[in-house]
Amino acid sequence: MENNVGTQESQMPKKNFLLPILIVLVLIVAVLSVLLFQKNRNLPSAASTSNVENEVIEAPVQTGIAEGVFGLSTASQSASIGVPIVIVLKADSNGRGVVGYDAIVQYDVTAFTLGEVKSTVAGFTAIASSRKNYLEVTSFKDSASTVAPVFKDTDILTVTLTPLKAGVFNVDLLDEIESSNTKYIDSETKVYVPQVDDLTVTVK
Amino acid sequence: MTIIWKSQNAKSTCESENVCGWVTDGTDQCNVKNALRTAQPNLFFNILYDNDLLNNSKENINYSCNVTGSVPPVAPPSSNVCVNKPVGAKFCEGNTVTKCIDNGGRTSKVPSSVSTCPNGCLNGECVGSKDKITGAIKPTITNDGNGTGDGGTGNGGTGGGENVIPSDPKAPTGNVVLAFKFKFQGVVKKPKGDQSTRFKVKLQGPTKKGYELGTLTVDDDGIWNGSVTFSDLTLSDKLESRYTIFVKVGKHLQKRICSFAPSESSGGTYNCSESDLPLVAGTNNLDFSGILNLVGDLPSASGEQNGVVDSYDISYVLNNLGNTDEDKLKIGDLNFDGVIDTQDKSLIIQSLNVKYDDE
Repeated sequence: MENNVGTQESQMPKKNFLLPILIVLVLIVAVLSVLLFQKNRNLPSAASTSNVENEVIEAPVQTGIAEGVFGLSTASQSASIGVPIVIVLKADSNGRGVVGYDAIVQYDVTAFTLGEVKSTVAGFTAIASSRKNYLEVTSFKDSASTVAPVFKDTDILTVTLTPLKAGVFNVDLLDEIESSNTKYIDSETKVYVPQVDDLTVTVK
Repeated sequence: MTIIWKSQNAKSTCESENVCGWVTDGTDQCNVKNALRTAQPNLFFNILYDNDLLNNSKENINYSCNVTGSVPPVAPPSSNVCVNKPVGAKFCEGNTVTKCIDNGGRTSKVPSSVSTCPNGCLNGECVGSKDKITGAIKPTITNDGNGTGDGGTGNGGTGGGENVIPSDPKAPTGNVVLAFKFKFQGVVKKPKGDQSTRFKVKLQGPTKKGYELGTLTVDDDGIWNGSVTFSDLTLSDKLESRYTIFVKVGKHLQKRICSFAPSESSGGTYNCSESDLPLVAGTNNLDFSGILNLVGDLPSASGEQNGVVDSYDISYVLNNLGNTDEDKLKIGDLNFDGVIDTQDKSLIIQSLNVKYDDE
């Protein structure tokens, strides 16, 4: 026992010396990875001066900086057939002033009919497009409005759905589908891709 | 039978379709337009469809119509076989060979019966005929004679020469130059300066071809002209050998086009689904100035377009209102007037109603 204890004690200083070096190395690699990742995803950077007249390139989905949160909520997650429910899109733009945003809402088209889609941000216009089994909303501020509002747990949009049948249904805010994605744009035309939260509705 | 089904607001685009339907009253009936519309203006069919899916979709939806009455023929009647075919083209139907003649110098739509085919027709050609069905190149098509393959195409004629369609099922191939005329949304006259823009074209048909790049320049009337070349295309006037063209311009939504000189009743509403372009070897003049190319899919600084008019596009314009910087104009000056302004914003808002590239 004494010999064993002595051996453990003699190794301790070596472990203490290596651990901080490893931690520092891991931190450096992590920081470099994050910086490179953000640089690559920030496509609309003003620093770039590509001549677009010489290129016609298509990207499947417009990428952006992972930042902010968009989520769906409703006054009650319980609903009745034939009684419209209002789905609210809440947003946090992480301190960024927002000039425009896209939100993709997917729902079971056999379980709901789509009603009104309405912007609840002053000075913003929302245009909705239904496609297959999802709804894509593009919203943007009026050109007369000089201020790009910061979303901080802000109700930015309402979508009215009327249940058609009973059951438990998801209403999903999709991060991306086909060529579209949920995103917001700031006053420097930088693209931000928020974390998205979904909603479950029980129809009785 | 299957109809091309559209929402009610797409009714006007149905006018160009052979068989097309739209909601009339929200019930389980549809008003179907077909080639016999003049004879039977209001044909009603009992159909089963998902009203919500129908109302919420911008896509063309194929529905099976359960026809309870007499079924009208789906195939185009003889009066229609010449649509988008060159003057002089011949088409065998039933036991009659129809020759297409000029209709006012622009497009050939008027047939005249010229001979009979006693053994019947197969794929538009006369069975057992020693004479190949031939069709003169219409005046707007110049054949430079570089076609290849059995039977040959583009046999050296220019403007009015014979274009022989082989009876051999192995279709010929040839090189094709597509010379375009485009009209851009928001551009009504020649913009200031020497404006040019890049565009790309791909083909769907018997030979699928990926994008070829070209450059468009604008004339005094605000019409954009340019050409691209495709090599080794399967070429024939047969229905199954026709092409659909997809055009994507640098700041615009992709457009799918199926005829030589398409038109539309309302700007940006042109839509087609059937490949109907009988391309020939040599230069094919495609006058697409009768339809609007919608702007709005702006490139990013790295030149990428995502095929959707979205918040990035309109935010770019909003963030650069009044800007005349050259690099900014290349992206956000949609009507090429030398400044990014509220007109550009309005153009994008109009395009949001279409929103997506044609695929």
